[in-house]
Amino acid sequence: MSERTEGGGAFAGSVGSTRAALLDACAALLALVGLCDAIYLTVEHLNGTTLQCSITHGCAEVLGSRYATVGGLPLAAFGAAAYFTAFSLATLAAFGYASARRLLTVLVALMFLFSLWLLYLQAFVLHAFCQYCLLSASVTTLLLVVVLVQRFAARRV
Amino acid sequence: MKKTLPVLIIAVVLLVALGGGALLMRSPSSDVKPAASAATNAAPNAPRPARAAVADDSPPARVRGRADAPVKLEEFSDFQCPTCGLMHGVLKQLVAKYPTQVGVAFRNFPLREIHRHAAEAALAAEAAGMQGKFWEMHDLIYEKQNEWKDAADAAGEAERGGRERAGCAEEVSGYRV
Repeated sequence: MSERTEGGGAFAGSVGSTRAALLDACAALLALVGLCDAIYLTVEHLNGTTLQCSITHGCAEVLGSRYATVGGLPLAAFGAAAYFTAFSLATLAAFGYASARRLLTVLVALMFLFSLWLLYLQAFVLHAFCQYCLLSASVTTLLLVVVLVQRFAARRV
Repeated sequence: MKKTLPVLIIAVVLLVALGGGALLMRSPSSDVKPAASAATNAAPNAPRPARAAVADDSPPARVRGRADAPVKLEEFSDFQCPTCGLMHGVLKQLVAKYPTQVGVAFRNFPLREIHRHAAEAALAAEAAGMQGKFWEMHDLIYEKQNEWKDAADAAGEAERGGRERAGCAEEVSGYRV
């Protein structure tokens, strides 16, 4: 994590690196949205409350299901940790740490795959959708789009 | 500065995230509408008669433990609600641990709009209750909640399971309840 890109990063001044830093900043902002969502879900789970959905109908089913807890901890807490890690990596990448960007790509890919699994559970096992979980899945998908755009853009430059 | 700024940003976000989480933990959410509070807390500041939430012509609640226990909990519950399912285990333990001090009164509160089998399950429990097996059926329905909640024929499964467990000889006719 200590190495910084030679000629890359936010302070190198080239058009390509500025665009890369902007995309990193986008990824950091998206990760913040996901972090807020996950913290909210974690806290409500720990408070023992039943969240009611306002858009979808199924928050209680999804958030009260056995899949919502892993080893006694709310799954959302792991999500919060993942989003915070993604935010940290995106911030470091925006400041020119190339290895952080590589790690961010791997992390976001794993988060996306896990989101697909959670979507599958909601659609085919629980038959209920929770809007907060769908928001998280959307954020992770957008994160994947951002890191992929960045990778392809970096190849072209 | 260039090296410390990202670390500073990350540290600030971490502190805000932890602080915000801690603040949320303390304040009760306005988004929460548990079944019991939705039914009983319509006017929290108004003086309430002893049985404000229950119409006079409603049947008596099913009581687990002593009906005249010094601590009496009245539960408005939905058999398909996952949180009610979690609460079921806690309340059962509570009565088992303090049999003379705690009584739990159960009332059906099926949320038909969001739980398609809640009303059927309530009928099945009441039907078993007519044969003196309400709590056996009540426990079975909650214990098997994950198995029947998505079933096409939930009432049939509950009834079959209930007969096996509760030893009911007759067909349960839910529609008499």
